[in-house]
Amino acid sequence: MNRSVDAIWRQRAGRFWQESMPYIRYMVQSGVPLVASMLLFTGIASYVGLLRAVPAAFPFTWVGVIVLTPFSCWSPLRTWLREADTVFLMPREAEMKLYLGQSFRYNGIAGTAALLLLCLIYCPLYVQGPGQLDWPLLLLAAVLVKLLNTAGAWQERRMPWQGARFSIRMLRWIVTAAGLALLLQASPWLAVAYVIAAALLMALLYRSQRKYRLPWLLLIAEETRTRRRYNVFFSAFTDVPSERAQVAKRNYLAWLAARSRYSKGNAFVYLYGHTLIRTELGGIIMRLTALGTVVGTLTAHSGLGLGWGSAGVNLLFVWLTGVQLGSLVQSHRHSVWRHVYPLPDKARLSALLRIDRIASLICISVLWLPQIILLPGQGLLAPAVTAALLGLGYIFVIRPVGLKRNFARTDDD
Amino acid sequence: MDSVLEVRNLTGGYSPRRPVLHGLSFEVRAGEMVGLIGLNGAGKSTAIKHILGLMQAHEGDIRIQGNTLEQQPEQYRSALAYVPETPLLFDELTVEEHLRLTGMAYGVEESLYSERCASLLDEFYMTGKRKAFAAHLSKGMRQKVMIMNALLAQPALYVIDEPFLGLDPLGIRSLLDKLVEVKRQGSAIFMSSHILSTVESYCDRFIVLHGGKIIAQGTLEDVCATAGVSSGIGSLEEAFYRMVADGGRHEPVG
Repeated sequence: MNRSVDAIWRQRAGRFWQESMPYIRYMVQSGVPLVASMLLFTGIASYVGLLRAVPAAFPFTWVGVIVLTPFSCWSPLRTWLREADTVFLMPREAEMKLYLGQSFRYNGIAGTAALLLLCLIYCPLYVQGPGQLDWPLLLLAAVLVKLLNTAGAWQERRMPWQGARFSIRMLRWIVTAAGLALLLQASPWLAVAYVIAAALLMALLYRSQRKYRLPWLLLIAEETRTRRRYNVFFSAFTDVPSERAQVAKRNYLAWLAARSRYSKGNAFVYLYGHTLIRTELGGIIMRLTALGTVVGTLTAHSGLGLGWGSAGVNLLFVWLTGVQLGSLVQSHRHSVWRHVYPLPDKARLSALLRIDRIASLICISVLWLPQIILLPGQGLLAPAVTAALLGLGYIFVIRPVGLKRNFARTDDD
Repeated sequence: MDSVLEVRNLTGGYSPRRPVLHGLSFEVRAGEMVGLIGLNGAGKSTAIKHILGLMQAHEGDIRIQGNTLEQQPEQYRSALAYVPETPLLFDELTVEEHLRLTGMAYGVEESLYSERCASLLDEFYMTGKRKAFAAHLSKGMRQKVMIMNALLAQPALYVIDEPFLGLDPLGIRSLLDKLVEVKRQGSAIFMSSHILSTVESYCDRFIVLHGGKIIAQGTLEDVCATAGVSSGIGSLEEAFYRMVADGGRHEPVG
């Protein structure tokens, strides 16, 4: 049966969400939405407080540019394409316009809605700043910028050379950030003239590059990467059938794993250390730790809730990184080498416990830094110390119990 | 010669009601290379999975150097290195890191590890790729990594499933040279392959598996005699064809 390509697209999208639903249920049961809502309410309370008394020297434009640029520029594309499509869908390349049109709508609508929501949140701050454009027009301009970026991102995907793709993407982000800065501060006519000129110049640049008609391999790789990220995220809450892991060299951290002493007892420590550092799991934990450090710095700087609010936020991130780290136990459990290597299975558990303890200690140390640097200066030492003690208790008392339980459960499966 | 691998009356498969292997009995001795040959679906990989302990036998007994997996798991596994049909690499490790992990897992002394690692990388023309990840290796190179890992451990028994798939001519030559070398040093090699001419040239004995049963085993002369063909260079292929092309009318040998 020769189904239309857009029917294939709809079926694939439907199947993805159908397969993801059970995992989403597990995630909801784990309490993550509760934590997210608490974070959201804390954020809203702090934002409302800020709006009531905005300091005279507040960097309105900088904040706007920093917040709006990533949402304007980042243009993911879910295509649901798989390697087998180079055999089955490639012969129908002429019809793929219809197929990809669905992908553009799918991501375009969601991305634009997210940007508009962010603009709406930012607008109460914007109207108190130096902006000359009416805020409804700012929303319109944001949509235009988003559309231009989506088109630009597509042209970049079609470029065959990774170096050119990366450089032009960087250029697009810089040009967009400058455009947003003008829209948020300069005279509207100047900003509009800049946006038009920049769009024309970028279009000329894209035109001058060699391009694929349809970048099959790149789209398949992008889709695989996205799927893998969903899998890594969901695997923190339940067992997810794993696909091939995406790895990054991360030499700046890999030396830590390579330092494990050469001995039979350390074989699994060596393996799991590299797994944590080089797979997407390590990326997620690093991003979470960085985000936690930034949020911790802001809350500690403002002495949120006499320091206790800040300590709470710190512990939330300690817990969140811990939840993600917990999915390391799923790695290699189906590997044939686990059975072939002359190593007892208990060596795997002790390696996991060791890696978990080291990684958790590194994460909470980084997350705790803003607390100990910023809180004592405001006479708020107790919350900082309490956060540290509770964090250590979590790592040394609670986590090993949970990890052993998960290990036994995954081993029985 | 001492027996390294002993398989006695092995019946096994994925379901107890439908066994894939039926009463296999054979042995592989120290300093011997035994070729396992059979059509697709004959049960070669299933037999290997039972030897590795990845599948449990319904009946029968498998011993490596006299140890069973149930009673002496560490001794059983230390004596065995495996090269799978499809390279199974850790995506997050480089070529060199795979070798280091194997060295650690098998308890190879560190100085010996460094020596063997450098020499294997050189012999398999992989020195330039030692920092490469699995995703950046061709299929043949990934297979070379598997082979190098097995050779690094230098165990008493090598279980090798279709080792030549994807290997370039230099890789095949390096592998065969190394197998001859480790055999001379006293290791036992149990190898499954469809390249009958190579199997004939390098193996001392052969096991012909068909429909999960051994229909012939022994030296080239023994197998040819069972098939009713005269032995000589290239005769394994003719014998094999005779035995399996008719749908396997040959009765299993005891």
